[in-house]
Amino acid sequence: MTTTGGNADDRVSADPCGPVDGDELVAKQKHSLALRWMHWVNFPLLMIMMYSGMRIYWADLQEPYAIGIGGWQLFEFWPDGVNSALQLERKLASGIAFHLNFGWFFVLNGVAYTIFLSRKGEWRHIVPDLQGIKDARRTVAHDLHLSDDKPVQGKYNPAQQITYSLVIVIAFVLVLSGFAIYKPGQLAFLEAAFGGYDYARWVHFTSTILLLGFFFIHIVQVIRAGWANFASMITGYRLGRRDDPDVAPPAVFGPDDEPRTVDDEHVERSAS
Amino acid sequence: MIGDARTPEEADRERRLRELTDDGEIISRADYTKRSRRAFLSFAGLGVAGVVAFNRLQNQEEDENIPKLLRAGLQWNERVWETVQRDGATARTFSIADREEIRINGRHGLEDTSRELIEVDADETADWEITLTARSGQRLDPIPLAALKSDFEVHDMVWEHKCIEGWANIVHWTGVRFSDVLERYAPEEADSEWMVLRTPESSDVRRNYSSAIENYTMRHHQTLLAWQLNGEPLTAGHGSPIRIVTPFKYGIKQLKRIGSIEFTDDRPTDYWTERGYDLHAGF
Repeated sequence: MTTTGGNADDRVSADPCGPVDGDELVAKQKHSLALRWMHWVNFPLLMIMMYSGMRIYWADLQEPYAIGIGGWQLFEFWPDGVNSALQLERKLASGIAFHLNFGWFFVLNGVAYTIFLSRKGEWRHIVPDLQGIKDARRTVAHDLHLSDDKPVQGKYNPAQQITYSLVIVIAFVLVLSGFAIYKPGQLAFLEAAFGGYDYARWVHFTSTILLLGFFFIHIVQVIRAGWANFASMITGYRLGRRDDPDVAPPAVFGPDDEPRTVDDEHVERSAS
Repeated sequence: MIGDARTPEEADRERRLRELTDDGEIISRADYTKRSRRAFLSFAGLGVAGVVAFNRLQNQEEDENIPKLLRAGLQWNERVWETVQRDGATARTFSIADREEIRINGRHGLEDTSRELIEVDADETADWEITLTARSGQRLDPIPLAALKSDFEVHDMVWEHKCIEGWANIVHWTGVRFSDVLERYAPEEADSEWMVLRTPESSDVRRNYSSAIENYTMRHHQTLLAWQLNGEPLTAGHGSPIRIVTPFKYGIKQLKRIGSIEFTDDRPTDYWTERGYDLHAGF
């Protein structure tokens, strides 16, 4: 789940002799302006949606959702301390007003992102191919320092691709279940598709929790990936040497090159 | 590291993946410095502006207990859903066997000043009338409860009653269609845009309750004037002797113990709307 590269900066700093051919520092666009907007807008929007949503949730504490296994409960959502600390109590009207206004912006952002993914072919970065799905386990092992073996990747590594694809699906389910709860009369088919009102609510809460879970993993991984990666989501560009694989394709893979001719049948992959 | 361990297939695949990524523009370091400074400043600026705007929204002058802009947004939502409203929409119904117990949640308009539920005895029930006020302000002939029960086709309907707090129960109502009653008692008011229902107003009542519902929901074929819940006469807590029920509104709109109905074309307000809730509050 690491974002790409991560080692460009180490080499950038060691540049005492000025640019040599291929050593020249350049920046390459990694995230377009549209993508950066659509990415960052989610943060305040989801904060507002989750906060107002929790105020709505507080209003019905007769059968609270809980974290636990079998009959044993770790805690119910939310423990009293959390409810009062976050001022969730007795704010249903305000919760609804914020939720049903700001929800539209999340929907609009989702529509814009969907158009962006399809029209610019950006989905190819996000949706893993079959090999990518097989490789995801290796990425996770690599990230957990269990292995030095790192699968090949494009803009995002296989584990990122799977995670980001799932997040898009979860966000979609989140919005649909929200509409099922919001308009079970006019959108009765949607309510039925979720198996009824109570299940639609359960799906809505569960996908929120999953999204929140993703958020925390995302933060950890962004910290691990380092400053240059984080900055690229703000500036859109990533600094590196002209011959850095994160900037331009390595010469060996240039357009005129044949792939290296190694008798692959007999090459043992270096054991990791 | 990229390199020795790659098989040609992997190398080939990597090249394809890289090509996908390699559509980004390449700029000089100097341009990068300039652009990233601009980007970080914009980012920080937008962040601060966002926080300021959100604080201003929260502290904005209120319209019926929520910030004006949010109230306007709720009204915009209402127009959206009125536009997509499908006249033929019918709420999901269930069989009588599915019916569940339902709690007494709201006692507004049903309590006396010492918070005791006000019971309606048999004599009062026999004489109960719903007063009607036309758009002109003129009093119409009231609807006698006895006539409601004897003169119209009685319907049993089972649907999921949903509370704005989030819980829901499948309940069984017995009553008559409001649209049938309207046609008999106030046909000339049948096109009024809003109908405002109220509990009987009295100084003995702790909080007078009201609910405003728009025309299409009031006239919907699943909107009933009901006197039975789950096969039993309504108790005081559930709104004896007569209440409005519809599967297209949250419970807060389904007024218990109807004392009067007022017809109007002007956008009305009601008990919970004044306290920050959505006037529409419908499905």
